[in-house]
Amino acid sequence: MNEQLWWYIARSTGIVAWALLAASVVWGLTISTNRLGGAVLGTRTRPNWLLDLHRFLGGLAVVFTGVHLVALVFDTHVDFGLTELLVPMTSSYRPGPVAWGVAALYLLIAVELTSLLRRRISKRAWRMTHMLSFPLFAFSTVHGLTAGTDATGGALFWSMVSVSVLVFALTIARIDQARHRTRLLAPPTPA
Amino acid sequence: MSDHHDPQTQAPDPTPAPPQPASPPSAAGSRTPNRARRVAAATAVAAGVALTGAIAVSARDSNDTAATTDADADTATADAATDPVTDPEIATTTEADTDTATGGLPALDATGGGQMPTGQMPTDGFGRHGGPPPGARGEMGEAPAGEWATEDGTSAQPAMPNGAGQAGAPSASSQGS
Repeated sequence: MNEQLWWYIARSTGIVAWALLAASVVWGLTISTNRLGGAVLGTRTRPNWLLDLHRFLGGLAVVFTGVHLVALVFDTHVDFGLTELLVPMTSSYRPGPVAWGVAALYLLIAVELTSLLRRRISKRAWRMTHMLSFPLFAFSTVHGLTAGTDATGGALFWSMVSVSVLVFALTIARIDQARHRTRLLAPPTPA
Repeated sequence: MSDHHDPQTQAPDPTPAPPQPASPPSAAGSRTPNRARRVAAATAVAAGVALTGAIAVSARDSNDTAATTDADADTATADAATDPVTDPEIATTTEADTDTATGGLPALDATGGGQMPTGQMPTDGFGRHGGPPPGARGEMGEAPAGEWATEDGTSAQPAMPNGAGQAGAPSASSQGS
């Protein structure tokens, strides 16, 4: 067995986890923005499986992130222990870039836990926590671009940049829809 | 706790239950999420495995390239060490080094003075050219490769004794006042 297999697994699962997270974010923004949802899906109604897939992609991202961490622990190429994985700036390997990943890990846990407990917590609490998905995506992208061995250039780098631009555009559209809805729901001002 | 049971609830239902369909009516709606989940999970796992393989192959290729480069460098070094005549530069350097080791001097110029490696002719304080470089009075300066050797590869002058501080035969033009 290749002695660097765990290192290869850590790298590949990190990439896949980021891709799943990006897919979940893009999917969630698409189905929550009515105009986009109608244009993409051909209907303004949202079948349950669309939301289910959004949740499932997030769950898969958690699973692959877990494999990413386990592979880093077993790897001997870079010395990672629980402390380095859970406490920012304690890693000897690129402490700054790794710290972005540690922060993203905590945000991912918070978003996933509140999604699982959605029926037991208030909608406001869930929504506020779910908004952490945006910094979560940003942190993980910075982590991938700076700490990742494979994102120093080439296809992966440009893929990450392109998807980030797409997420940014979808976020702008989502904010625009929220503002439009707020204006419609606002009481008319007396003449 | 009472042992009393209502006979009506205990009695078996006389009417047979209608045959249940293989899947409940809502299964048509749940089939899509299951399929979407399977596709997503299979794609993610396949991507992970493919990426791991691609990374391993890429790392192996880069290691092979590095090993080949090292091997080439070793071969070149071995050639230079065993066959100095093959490379004219190496051969010249070897001859110059031999001259330096034996205390050889550069060829005399037209005035009979010694040619200094730096191109300047320092004096020894008495207006005489051809002395050793400053700070190394009486010792031979280190010659650049190939410039000190004569055409036949032999030294033109005998070695200078240390401390003499005089290189080359003084000529009339190089004599001080």
